[in-house]
Amino acid sequence: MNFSMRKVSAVMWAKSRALTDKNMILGPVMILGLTVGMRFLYQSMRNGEPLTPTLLSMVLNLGLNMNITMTGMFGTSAALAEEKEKFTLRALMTSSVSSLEFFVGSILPPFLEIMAVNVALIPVSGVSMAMINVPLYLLVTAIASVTSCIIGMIIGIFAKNQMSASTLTSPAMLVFMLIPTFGNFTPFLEKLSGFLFTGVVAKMVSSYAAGDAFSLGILNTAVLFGEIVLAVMIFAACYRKNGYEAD
Amino acid sequence: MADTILLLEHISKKFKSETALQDISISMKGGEILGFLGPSGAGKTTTIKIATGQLRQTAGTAHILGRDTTKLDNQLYCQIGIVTDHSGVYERMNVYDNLLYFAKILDVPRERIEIILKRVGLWEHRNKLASKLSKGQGQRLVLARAVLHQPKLLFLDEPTSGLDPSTALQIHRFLLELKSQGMAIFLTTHNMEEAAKLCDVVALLHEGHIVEQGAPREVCLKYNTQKRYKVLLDTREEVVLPQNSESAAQIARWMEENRIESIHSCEPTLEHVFLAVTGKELQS
Repeated sequence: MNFSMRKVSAVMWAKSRALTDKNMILGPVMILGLTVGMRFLYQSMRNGEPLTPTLLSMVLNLGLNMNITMTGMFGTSAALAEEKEKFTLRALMTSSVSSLEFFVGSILPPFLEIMAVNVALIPVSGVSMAMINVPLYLLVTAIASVTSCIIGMIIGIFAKNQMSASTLTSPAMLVFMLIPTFGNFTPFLEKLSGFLFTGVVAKMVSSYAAGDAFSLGILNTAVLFGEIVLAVMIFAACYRKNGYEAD
Repeated sequence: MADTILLLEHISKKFKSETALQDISISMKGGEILGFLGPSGAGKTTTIKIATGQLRQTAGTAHILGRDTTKLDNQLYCQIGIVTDHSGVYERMNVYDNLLYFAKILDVPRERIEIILKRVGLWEHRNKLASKLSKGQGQRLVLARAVLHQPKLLFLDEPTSGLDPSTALQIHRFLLELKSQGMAIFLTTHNMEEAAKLCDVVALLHEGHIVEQGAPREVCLKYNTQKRYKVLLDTREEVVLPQNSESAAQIARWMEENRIESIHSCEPTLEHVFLAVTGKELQS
């Protein structure tokens, strides 16, 4: 298969422009706003007292989970569905852009956007940088973000239009966002959360609050890398069957 | 075969139990416009999809620019342009950026964008969002994108369908200009006037079969069995005469008396040929 960086950067150029559209920019702004809101809500509940590390980590967790799942899954699935709905995908595919070039060019802009927000969420949530192992934070959130984007692309394959992309993305978002968010409430959800890539992110952030030095370990590494590999395999299988759109 | 741009041999296509195409054979050379005429559902778009490698035929072979269409790589798409009713534009981009995107993909210099936009009459609309374009402007933008990289072969699926006569005329002129530059154009249409005006060769498609093929004039003359003439007299009376010695004498008399306003031969149009061959109207 041909792979041209020129074509990838052209697709990235177009996708980046779409990300700055007012409808698409709303997601990250809302996530940052909601994180700030949660931070001040907790603070007001504590009568202005500074937040405990546990509460700070809950705020950061909420923001991270929303960002990784919402922007990652919805951003990519809706963008692919829009290309199909407006018949621009076929124009691209018959203009010498390979499926791999389209895939890489489509994933990179939302991934970079998610990563920028992931980093911005640290000061926004009020978590001190000193609490965080920044390289590990970047690595774990990067893997989780890519996995989320690939899941979005899988959903995009099945979505005929933006409306169906939204409908199909919702259950996946609920699973990957809510289980880690409420993981602390019941042992069952906590256990389940441990097997999700977003759960590993949540575990990492929680460990910062507990003052533990978070290390990936075998299970977390297996979950992170296993799920990204699984997502790629499912995407490849779906793509082989239907392409990006069925005739 | 050397200068054959497109060669379809005995192509058939079945979708489950439905036969979409049956034994289609066509060949095209550079600088030629081939009109694929048929009503909706005749198999025109399916033929384009097979010829461009977007769909696999059930039987037969298809070669485009000497390459088997079942084994095309993406580089071949740099040499062809495609305009179908499913050729969308990026509505949130302006006209210029829509072309800039494809110029980046196809490695076309930016100067070419200005040239092509001026040629299709969209230069003054270059900053307009594609979503704000009229149907005719949108169709010209799609056409501009398809020829941006100066392809050797252009596929056009009903390019003037639903357009006003003025826009259709502009597109016709542009297509003839492209043809004069050596571009081969595969044109599907159900507009027989358009086909007769533009095409070097037409193929009439009916229910997945090619029922007639050849130069438009030759095809029409082949079905000109009655050989009649329509004479408009100075009294505004219109008389249709068969080709025989009596009619010739009558016409000669009227000419001597200076009574003829106009005289036309009545050979069938492609519409008549289609009706004669299939028993069905082309436009239906």
